[in-house]
Amino acid sequence: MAAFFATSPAFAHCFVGPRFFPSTLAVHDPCVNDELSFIGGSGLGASHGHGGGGHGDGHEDGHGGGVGGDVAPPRDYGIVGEWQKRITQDFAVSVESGWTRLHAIGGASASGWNNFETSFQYQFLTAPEAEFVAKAGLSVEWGATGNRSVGAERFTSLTPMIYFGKGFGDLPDSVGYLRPFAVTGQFGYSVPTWGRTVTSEVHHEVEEEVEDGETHVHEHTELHQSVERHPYAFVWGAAVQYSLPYLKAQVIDLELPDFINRLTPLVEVKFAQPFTNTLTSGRQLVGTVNPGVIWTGQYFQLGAEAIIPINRASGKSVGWMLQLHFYLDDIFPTTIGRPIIQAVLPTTIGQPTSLSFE
Amino acid sequence: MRQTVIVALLASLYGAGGAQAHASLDHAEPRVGNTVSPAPSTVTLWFTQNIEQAFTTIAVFNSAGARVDIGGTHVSTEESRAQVRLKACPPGVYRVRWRALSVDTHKTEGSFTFVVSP
Repeated sequence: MAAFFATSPAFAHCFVGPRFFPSTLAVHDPCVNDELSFIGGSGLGASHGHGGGGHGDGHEDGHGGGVGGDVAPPRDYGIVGEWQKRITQDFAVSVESGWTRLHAIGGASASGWNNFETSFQYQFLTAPEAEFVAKAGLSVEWGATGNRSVGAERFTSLTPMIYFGKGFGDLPDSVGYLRPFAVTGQFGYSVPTWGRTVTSEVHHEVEEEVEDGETHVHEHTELHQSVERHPYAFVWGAAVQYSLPYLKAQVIDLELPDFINRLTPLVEVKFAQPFTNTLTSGRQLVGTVNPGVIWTGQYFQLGAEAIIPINRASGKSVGWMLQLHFYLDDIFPTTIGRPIIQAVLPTTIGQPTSLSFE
Repeated sequence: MRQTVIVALLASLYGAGGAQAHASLDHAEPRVGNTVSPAPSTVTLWFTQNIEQAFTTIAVFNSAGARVDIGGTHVSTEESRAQVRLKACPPGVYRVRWRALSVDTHKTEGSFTFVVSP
């Protein structure tokens, strides 16, 4: 039995029946893969501090770093790298980290690493006939692994997530031009491991007073404490995409140029809603709308999106993101691009586990 | 440390030779979703990667769900092409279902229709 699975055809990538879900920029795709991704970007940061190149689940959770209060938000530039590795056909671990440069209006700047993140993801349902897939995950942003100067928190955040993808290839042929549509989404709840951070500052003042020709020195020492509460937050996002590769291969070949046939226009949204422990953060919804396009090749894909904040708490101007994503399962199909443990039953249900048409 | 890991990964990617990939449908004859006349005698699919004879299959169905191919999908590995011969096809809508196995064992599948006009 083990020998059979060791030699059985590999699925990998994010194929669900005839549907291919490309790796999206703002939200995670709904499959586990062997992949390496880099996302760089820029935006005029929000007061809660989400980076321009953010791809993970904990970046826009309402308790990120950055500047606050009345200070003008800095423009941020960043790049995030993520490597995901399948342990079995359906279980993968990913590691992610990013580098950020903050540049405040007026000249001051800071740069450094964001906190290190680890995600554990299990693809528990694959239904090829319905082009539906779902996975569960736990994302861990490890506190104190990044630089405080760019807002990396000192505490760890845990974000359990559910991800799904649904293609509309099962629509009837009479509405064939709608069949290339697909939607993916993610829902989670971000839990900080610290309820609050207390910052203490000692103010020492020296006053000199001249009285009757004599100088008197008065010294005052005061202890100021500020408390920042870290909210628990709902985080969710979605991507609506129209696959021109699917249109060409499954619906109608319009004999368009090859470059056009490899494009997937899409719109992503990503939101965070602080829910509890919001005394200092407030409960305002933050998020962005990201229209863009993905070009899909044989071994890698390229993506570009605009980042449009939904309100002033989410950002002050439009930013951008660029993606370079490698399909490691295609580049290294017999080594690091395949699961470490292969003799595990896949979770696929329905017909395509068989290669027969009978 | 982190820079070293990234550089090592990029270097290994650059040096990846002989890689294969998922075999996606490049184009077909009859063309996907198109109308043809007279009826074709074969359905031919060209893929983006080399494919294996084993586990690569094409089946063609009429609008009643009956198979109109004669079976025995022929694969040309060098041309990344799979072909199946058809029975006589009267005017109507036909659905092609295919599954392919690339030489590195990645599996892909798909389906499309074409129309035979009078």
